Amino acid sequence: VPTRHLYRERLRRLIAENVVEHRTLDAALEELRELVADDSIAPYGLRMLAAVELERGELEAAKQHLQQAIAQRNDPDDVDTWVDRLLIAHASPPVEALTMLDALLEIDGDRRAEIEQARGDALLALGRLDEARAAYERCFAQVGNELDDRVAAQLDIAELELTRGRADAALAALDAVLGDEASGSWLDGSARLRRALLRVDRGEHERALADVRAAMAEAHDLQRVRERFVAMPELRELPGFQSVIDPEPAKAAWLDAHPKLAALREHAGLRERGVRFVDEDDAREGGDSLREFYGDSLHLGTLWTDTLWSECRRIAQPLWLLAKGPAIPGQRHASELKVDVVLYVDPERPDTVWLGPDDEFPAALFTELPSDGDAISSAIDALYLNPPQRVDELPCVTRALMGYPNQLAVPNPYSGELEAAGPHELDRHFNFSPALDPLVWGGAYADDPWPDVMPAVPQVRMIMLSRSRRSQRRGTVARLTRRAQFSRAHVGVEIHQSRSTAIYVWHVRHRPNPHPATIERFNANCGTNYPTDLPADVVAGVIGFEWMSAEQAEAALARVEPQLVPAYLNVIAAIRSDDLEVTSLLAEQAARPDLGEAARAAVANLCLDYGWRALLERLALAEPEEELRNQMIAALARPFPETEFSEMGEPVDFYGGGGEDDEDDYEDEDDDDDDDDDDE
Amino acid sequence: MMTTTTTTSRAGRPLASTARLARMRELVEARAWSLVVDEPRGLYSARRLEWQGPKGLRVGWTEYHEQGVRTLWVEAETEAERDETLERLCAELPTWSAEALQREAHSTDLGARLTAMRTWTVAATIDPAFAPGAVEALVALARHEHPIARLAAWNLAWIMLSVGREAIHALARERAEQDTEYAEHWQHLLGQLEASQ
Repeated sequence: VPTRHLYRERLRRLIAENVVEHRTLDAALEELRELVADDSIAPYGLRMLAAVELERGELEAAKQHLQQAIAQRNDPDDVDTWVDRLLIAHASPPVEALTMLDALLEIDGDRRAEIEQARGDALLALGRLDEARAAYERCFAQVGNELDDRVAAQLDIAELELTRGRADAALAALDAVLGDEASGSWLDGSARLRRALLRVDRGEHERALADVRAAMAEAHDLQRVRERFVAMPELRELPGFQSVIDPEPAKAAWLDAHPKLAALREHAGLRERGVRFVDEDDAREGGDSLREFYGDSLHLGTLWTDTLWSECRRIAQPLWLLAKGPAIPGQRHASELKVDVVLYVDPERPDTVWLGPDDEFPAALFTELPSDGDAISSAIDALYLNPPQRVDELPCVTRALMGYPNQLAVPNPYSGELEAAGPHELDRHFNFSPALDPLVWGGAYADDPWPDVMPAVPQVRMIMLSRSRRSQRRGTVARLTRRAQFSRAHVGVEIHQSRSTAIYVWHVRHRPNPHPATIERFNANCGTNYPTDLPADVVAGVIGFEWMSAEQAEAALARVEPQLVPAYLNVIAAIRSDDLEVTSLLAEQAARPDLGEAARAAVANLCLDYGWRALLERLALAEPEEELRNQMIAALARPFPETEFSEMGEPVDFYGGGGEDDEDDYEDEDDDDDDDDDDE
Repeated sequence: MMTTTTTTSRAGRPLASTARLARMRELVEARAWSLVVDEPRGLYSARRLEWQGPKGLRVGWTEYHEQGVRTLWVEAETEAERDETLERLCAELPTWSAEALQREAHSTDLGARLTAMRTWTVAATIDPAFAPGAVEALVALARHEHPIARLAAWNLAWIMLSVGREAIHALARERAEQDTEYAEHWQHLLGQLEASQ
């Protein structure tokens, strides 16, 4: 029975941290061993390495690393030294461990619960069962009101009592924390499983089934709990177990009136994928619930434009819930959060069904499919069950203007009021998104550095990791990326031209949407112009912000007033900053006789922002105004200014702005006049 | 990213400013080569795209944003294969010939001259076949009367170090003494060269 235990929890968290930092334990082992080989590892790295070695059963190696960490710190009173000593005890034979733990008790009474639990383990291993029980009881007495720790301590006592064949005592230990109600602990499932097994042994089958039923009802991850219960032969053979663990699928008899829908209910491919059809009452209720979702109040995490809201209501209006499942991963918070794929149908139009990843996903972006089992199975596979695992499985790059930070707004999750969409506010907004993931990484990472399933790590450590993951590559623009929850596209927000008027640019790496008709329909009904190969969850994430492609901005150049041209050039340069061909366009625009000095100065500033020295030379050679020409030549004589980034991965001048004070910027004639006045 | 071993050195060509990446992608797609490197540019670093073909064939497209220069290069198992691939690609993409570079790098039109000189400098660093005459052309540019020409020469001298270190050293020494306007710039280069000796 896997449980969360006090000092074993410490080890589990170290393992989790290793996974978060390196994605896999093998990668962690490789990198940490390299650091040891280079003699450049710090005590904390040694502890991390020891944790991995412990996990692999390499006890001697683990002890060696921990002893090295203690030696490096050279401070016996340091709390980290204490932790390392506790971990050494964990890696030691029980007699040795006990001696160490007794010594620790003398030093640090504050952590007695953790030490007593470790002592209990050592005593149990030595067969000194009364002493072990006493140690676990002292542990329980020390843990206070921490639910998980209380359940963990009683699970220890129950296991010990079972070791010596005292089922009543084991049951009493579990009853002490479980009662008939869920305690709310994450360990309730483990405790209920253990108690169900004990009750089976005592012939209390109904009570055992009650525990199974309660565990299923309380489960955070139903599938995982189900698998653990099904793996126990004693439970599997219980009369009635099957109906508890696999409730009879709904008959969904209402579908008999619609032969195509009835055929879906019988479709083997859909059944294999975990699609569960619902009864008529649930179908009506599911439809009502969807409509209520688009009732009066807007939901966080999506920028609800009027057209999006209306389109969601239009689509939801006639729908009934048809089926749910399979369960697929949702947002990557701690633990594996899953959501149910949903299928809806308009009973008046049973020839088509509507597929979405979750009932909170904007209905306007549901995929409409023919009521055909094979087509729906294929769509579920393509959209939800076979996501790309690496960045090189994302062949498309789509870039567009997202807008100006000082003009965009997102709702404050605490007040609901709109606030300027700075990077921090964007993070908060996307934390609630039904389409994008909350975890972010900076441009220093070519691929998503976070693990697919987020284990729980201490919050302080998570904050530190999140910051380090936002680091940027030197000499590039700032890019903060999060993944789309279902398509696993990488949705990056770049911050350009932060020395003057900052611009946000979308940088999306994705697979082509296998159902472009979804985006076509959305564009037609919502008046948007998203590329139809964008995945629906990307569109759900970016809707409400600007979306202007470079082609659209270039097309506008010919028709906008000359004074607006510089702003468009800034946008085009930002979107196409990685494309050298854009310099030809900028050179052509700078040479337009109708634009004047301001436009030429704007292009010169872009040369500084993006390091286009050759273009700046051409501009300087052609520049008729002596002062501007001299400014350009002066800039050519200096290194181009490199963007510096804060620890949050944002340009340091983003919040300062005020490009007009920057000595590297060019100014047009009017600005120069103002400056002269100031000087006077 | 995948890596391969090849038996040839790299052969490259500077591309004209009219060479389009979209056309290159079409050529790659038609040959079913796979993209193995897609490295974004930095303020001073180039954008690099690399594709892998059969039998150790590797083809790269590099955009040097600072210099305004694009290059194409090929590695293959044999020189014949490499050269044939390069020729076939260059038949589809406008390129600079060595003769055109030499001619334009001495042009009286300063804009054209700077474009050619930047292209030639980068080309000489990726393929030794382009090296002859490049340093001499740079020296001439460094003695030009126009400040933009002299600043360009100073900027390119850093890159040209890998082609003719001694000649650049001599040039830096000369310009540090004679170019009163940018003596400090050349002195900086000279200092770096002498510190690394």
